Amino acid sequence: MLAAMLLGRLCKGRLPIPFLKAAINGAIFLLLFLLGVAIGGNDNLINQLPTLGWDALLLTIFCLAGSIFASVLISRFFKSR
Amino acid sequence: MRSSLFILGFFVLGIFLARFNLLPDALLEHDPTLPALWLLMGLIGLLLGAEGKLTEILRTVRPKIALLPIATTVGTFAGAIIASFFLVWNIADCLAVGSGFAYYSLSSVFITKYKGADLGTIALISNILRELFTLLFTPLVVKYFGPIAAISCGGASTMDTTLPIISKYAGAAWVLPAITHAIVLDFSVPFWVAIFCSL
Repeated sequence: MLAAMLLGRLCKGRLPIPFLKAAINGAIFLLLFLLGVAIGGNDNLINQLPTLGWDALLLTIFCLAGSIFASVLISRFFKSR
Repeated sequence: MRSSLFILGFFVLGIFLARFNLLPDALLEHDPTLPALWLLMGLIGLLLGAEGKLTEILRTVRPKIALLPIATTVGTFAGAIIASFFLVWNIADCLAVGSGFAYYSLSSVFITKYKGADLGTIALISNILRELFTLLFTPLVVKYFGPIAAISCGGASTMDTTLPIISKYAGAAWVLPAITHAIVLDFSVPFWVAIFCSL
């Protein structure tokens, strides 16, 4: 990534930025598609999904809520920016 | 929000195509997610360099960035402890899963080894969900809770998979804090998971 940053810096003004943004969007779609393929192709995971999935979902929701709460608490220190 | 739904669509399409064996086996045997990730990282690097935002990013390095991983850790652990009251798993189990911080590959392997496949699978699903939530809902989280909350949700994934979405919706100024945040969490995952598995 650092190498790409350097390359981008060197080619500054000669790279089509809208094209790059579109390519990034495409790459995000590709990555999520492949993540789906990895999960769908794992039989074990799909079979256990109903039983373990709920526990996992509940845990995730609480962890995310805690993270959001904590980050809202600290965000006051960044307001001055 | 529309692009989030679009992304979810691609994800679901991937699951179904793989489920019904509509894809060439080679795609499953050689995990292509890593090269796809490199492609993405390279493109983001190119864009950051070409837009000349490097100097702007470097100017934003401040000591208080250290607050980010601390808030994520404390918040996640508090959430995991509360969740344990509603689940059959004990506090240490829930903390072990939570301390994966969306780093699902490492944490689920660790937990499978020390606590068994059930909790390992929960760790895998839970941490994938965390990454997925960040990918899908970052636009909303930024809007209602601010950029720090979005980075916090992403956990250890904010330097790779969820970085593009954070840079897009929170702004380029948050790229470096996001990377720092993820590096710190990344190193802490094995440490926390090992501690909570041995309790």
